[in-house]
Amino acid sequence: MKFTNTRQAMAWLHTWLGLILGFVLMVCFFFGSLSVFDREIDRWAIPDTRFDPQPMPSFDNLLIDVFERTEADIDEYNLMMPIYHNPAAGEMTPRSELPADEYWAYTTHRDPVLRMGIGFRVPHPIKEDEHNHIHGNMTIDPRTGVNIPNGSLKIGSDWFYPLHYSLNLNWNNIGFYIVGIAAFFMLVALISGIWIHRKIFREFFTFRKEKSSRRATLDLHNMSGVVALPFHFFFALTGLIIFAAFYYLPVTNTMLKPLHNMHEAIEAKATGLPHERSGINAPLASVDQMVEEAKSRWAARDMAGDVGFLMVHHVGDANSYVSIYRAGSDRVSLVGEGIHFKASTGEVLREDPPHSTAEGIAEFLTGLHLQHFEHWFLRWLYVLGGLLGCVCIATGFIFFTEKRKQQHAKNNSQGSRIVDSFAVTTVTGIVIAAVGMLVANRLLSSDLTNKGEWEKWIFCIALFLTFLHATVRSAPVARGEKNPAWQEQCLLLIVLSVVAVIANWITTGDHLIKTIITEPYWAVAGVDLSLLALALVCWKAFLHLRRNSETLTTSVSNAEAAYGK
Amino acid sequence: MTVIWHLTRHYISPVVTAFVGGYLFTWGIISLVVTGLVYLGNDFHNAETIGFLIAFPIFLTVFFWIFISQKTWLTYTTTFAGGALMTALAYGLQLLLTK
Repeated sequence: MKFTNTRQAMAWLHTWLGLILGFVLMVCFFFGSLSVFDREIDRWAIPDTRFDPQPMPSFDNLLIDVFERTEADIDEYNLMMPIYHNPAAGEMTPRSELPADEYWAYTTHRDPVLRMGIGFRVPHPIKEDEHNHIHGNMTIDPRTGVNIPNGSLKIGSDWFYPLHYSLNLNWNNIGFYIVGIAAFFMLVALISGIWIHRKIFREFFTFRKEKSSRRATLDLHNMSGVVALPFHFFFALTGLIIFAAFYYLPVTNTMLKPLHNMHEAIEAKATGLPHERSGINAPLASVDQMVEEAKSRWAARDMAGDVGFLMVHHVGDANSYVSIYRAGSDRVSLVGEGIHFKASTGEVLREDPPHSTAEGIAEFLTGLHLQHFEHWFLRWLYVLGGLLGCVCIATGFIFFTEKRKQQHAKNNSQGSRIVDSFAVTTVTGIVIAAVGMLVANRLLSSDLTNKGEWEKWIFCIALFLTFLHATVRSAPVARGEKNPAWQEQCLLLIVLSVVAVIANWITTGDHLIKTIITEPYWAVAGVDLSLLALALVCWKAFLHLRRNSETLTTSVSNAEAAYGK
Repeated sequence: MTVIWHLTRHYISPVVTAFVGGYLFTWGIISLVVTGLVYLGNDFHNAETIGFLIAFPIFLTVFFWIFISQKTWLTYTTTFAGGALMTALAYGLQLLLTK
């Protein structure tokens, strides 16, 4: 290692890992911030679902009909059935005849619609002891049981939200691994950042706006990093913990799988909740009565609440049982106080006992990251913390190029130019892609087949175009000047944000006076107001950038005049 | 070519080594913590949760230790060989538990 001391090594780590993985982290932080209000963005994107949040509807009168009419997803069936099915054991079961093995339904205090799903079992599997499920998922209007069309993309919860933890790169889960590595190196960057900035307390209060723009940028980078340091550290760490068992450290799902399976069997015996089907058919008793029993038991524990998650295991079998979990909107920890019933009789099999200290800590950390609680002020603080993360990363990029571009210009190096192009793409580009997607959502006809797929493509194309634009316009950076793409993309964002708000008004009739005053609906009003706030911030940024570039042009002209050029 | 070799040798390689060494050590310690706690009578899920809660602080510590250490033989032996040894021990314990 060619470093003279530890501080220099830390500075190198902070600069280069921060730069390389900062582009990924920017996506994580920005879309993570939007995910705090993913359900509200869904309401904006799917006008048919703009009604009040609903409690879990009757299972006996409504949900069971939806489950019974739902089939396995055609794409998943075509992909997975040949992998799961054992041809030597019998004919491949047609998609519409696959037997259901589990039902689930899930709602939160912010959901007008209800998410439901079925795990269908494969009758002749190759590996009998594996979880051979093909799924069928749907979203319904819980007031009527009518399906929300599959073509309607929930832009908030099915596009922006997964972007922040998987980049929506699903090939071999590669997006999860990229984000995991980025999150780990974010922790490294935070620790190395503290190491190199010894006067961390002073930096908390330092912002020298009147100094050079490079100095002010560094101050803002340090200040935003220090102000939200616990928030940034916590979110990166808990994000890693949440996915550790599945992706990042799958010790217990790979090497220790035999021990894991043995424990599952022991647990099933101890809890009385069957791990396997018995093979004997049995009817399903009234689930609504089980829900009432669960509610009365929660009330008896002085924690009355609604159902958040409901699951029927081993559907139609004598070993079938129903698990009912409480909605956790009144606490941070992600615990459901599950109560489990024998499906054929409604007899209570088990109430989940209080968890151990370690599990309690993990549930608290997970709950704090996933924020299922009902606390609007805290939710906005999450957004603020996430956006401060974006500011910290963006100012890091800007400081990197500002510090080096004069030197690079002298050496004919393209380094700063490349970094600047990526910085423009990940700072203004991703926002243009997101707002462009919302505009497309309002302008594309709701009858368009696969409308959601079109919206996804528009997002990706818009992001690519912003990169192309930033690269094409970055030539001045190689001369030590500013990239005009920053200004131009700010201007585009102003236009797009205002167009999105107007398009929402024209296509749905939901203008701000209606959603704030006459018929308040804060989910939609909040998105519209946020878009207008974005337009305002971009306008201020545009003016600032234009003023800077005019000052620069005047200085260059004066210098040229002085040298008689 | 010389520049790429220089960058790889002096900058990229230490980061990659610290990451891989840290990962291997963490893998070993988690597997040993989980099997060890189960062996001592703990619930599997509780042991698993403890493992994941301590995993990333350990990973970070080991990463920095390898990255800034000058005594590479000590750090490499401890993390790579130690990680492998703990993994082997955990595997052995699992065989004992599932027998």
